[in-house]
Amino acid sequence: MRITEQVVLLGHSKSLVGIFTRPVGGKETLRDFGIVILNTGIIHRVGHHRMYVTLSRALAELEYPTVRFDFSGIGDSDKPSHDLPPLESAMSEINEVLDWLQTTKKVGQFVLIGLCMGADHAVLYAATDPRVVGLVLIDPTMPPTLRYFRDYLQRRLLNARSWINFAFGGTSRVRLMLIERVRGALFKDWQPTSPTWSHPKLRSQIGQIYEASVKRGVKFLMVLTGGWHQTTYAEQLVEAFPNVNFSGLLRSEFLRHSDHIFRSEISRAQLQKLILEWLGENYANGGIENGS
Amino acid sequence: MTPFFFGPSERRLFGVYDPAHDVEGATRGGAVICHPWGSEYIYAHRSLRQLAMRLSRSGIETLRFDYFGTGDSAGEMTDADLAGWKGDIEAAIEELTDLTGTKAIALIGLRLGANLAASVAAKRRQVNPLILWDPIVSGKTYLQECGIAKGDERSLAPLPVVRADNVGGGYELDGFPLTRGMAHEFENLDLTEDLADISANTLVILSARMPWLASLQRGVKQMSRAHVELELLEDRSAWVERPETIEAIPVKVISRIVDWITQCE
Repeated sequence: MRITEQVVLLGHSKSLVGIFTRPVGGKETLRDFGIVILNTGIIHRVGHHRMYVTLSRALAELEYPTVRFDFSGIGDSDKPSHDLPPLESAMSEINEVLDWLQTTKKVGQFVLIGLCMGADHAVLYAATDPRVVGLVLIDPTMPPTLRYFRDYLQRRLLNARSWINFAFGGTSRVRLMLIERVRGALFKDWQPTSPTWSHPKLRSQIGQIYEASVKRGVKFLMVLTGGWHQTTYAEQLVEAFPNVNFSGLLRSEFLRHSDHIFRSEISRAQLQKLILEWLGENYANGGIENGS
Repeated sequence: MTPFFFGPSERRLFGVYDPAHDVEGATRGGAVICHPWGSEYIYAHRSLRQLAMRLSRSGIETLRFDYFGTGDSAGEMTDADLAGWKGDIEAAIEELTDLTGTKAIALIGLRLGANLAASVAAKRRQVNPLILWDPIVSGKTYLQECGIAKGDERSLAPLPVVRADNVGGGYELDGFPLTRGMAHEFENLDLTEDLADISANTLVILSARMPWLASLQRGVKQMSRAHVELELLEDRSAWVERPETIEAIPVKVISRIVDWITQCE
């Protein structure tokens, strides 16, 4: 399957720069859903090690129309022309990109793909837009669980530097978590200064966000890596949110030997294989209908 | 700002054209920005965009682009080579000339982009002026720093991953494939050789004191055919990611480049 890449200017002010990748030749049709890949932090739309270019091309070869774009102020996109806070701005821009795909390419359903902050944006947005039917979340923000603490401690206990750090007041994550918990127990009105998982409301709010998508039947591919300090095993999401019934909607994978930014070609190939496989499992019959 | 693809269909290159803002009724020529390679390209993207915007506001028609097999351009890194990338710079010069009608084209290159720009400038008289920003003085030294070529055994660089022969061989350099052929081309990079043939006004600007400064100074002295300035202006490195400066850009270096190029008229 031959593919083509087109530069697109998206959003109300046409200031978001994106690349639309799609198949050409053969039947001039598109699947009835499109894929949108979100920025990882401040890295522009090509992604770390150009992983999103390779992924978009592979997706287009399987007839998935795909857009990867830069949020305002990132990559080649202009600074936002509005005063929205960054998170609201990102939500609004995802919406604009989906609108563009819907109106110009007749694509009505979407899968969002994001790594790290991109995954957080994806899961937050999906809760608000029924057009999103699937999420590929790679190393999103993840609450700690008992098993996480056990795995994490086990790893750290074997590391001499951790002991030095703990003893001399360094920035050991466990030490900081313990301090927070002690303060929380001692002082009734205590609130952490930054949004950490010890914050009483944060965990339940994130749980509600996942639940909103689950209730709509959104499917999840959760890919966690050994290089992401917030995760240590594949089932962490399910254990972190026991009240959310992911049953049948979630495939979760833990890539132990991959780092957070998929530095090795092997781990990038592994990730891509997982994504294509998951799309095939869930959307292979996601009918091909008229597109432009 | 206009992002677009240019070049033949088998080698489509992604470029971003920043038109010159009208400064006192006339533009001040054009500039093509030559990116670094690999992770350095990813980290430098933000700074080079800022540079392009500053140049266009100073009345300079500016084009930055991705080499074949990099960024948004067509192809895969494993199909790329340095000779092809020099051809891409020439294609970008043609494109900017066609777009704007301007004949005088400056080349600005960062890291590997500086080496490629110097090589093109040595052969193409249309290029004037030339700015080499933190160039790789010796490809061999560069590969030694990356742990690929034999050199200082005390080097702390992690050993690169060796790639299988059936995918082009070579190494993975900070996650980017460097095929055997490309590694060989890197090894033969010698900035001082190209400098000797350059007749364009040249600014070599370094954002940090490097161990190879003396060798660069010797190379600059050989540039008898050109007016050349070598400046050390300590600033953040645009091409390195450090947690403490992750969103910062090297303002001093960018300002100096813009000032220097506008004074070259």
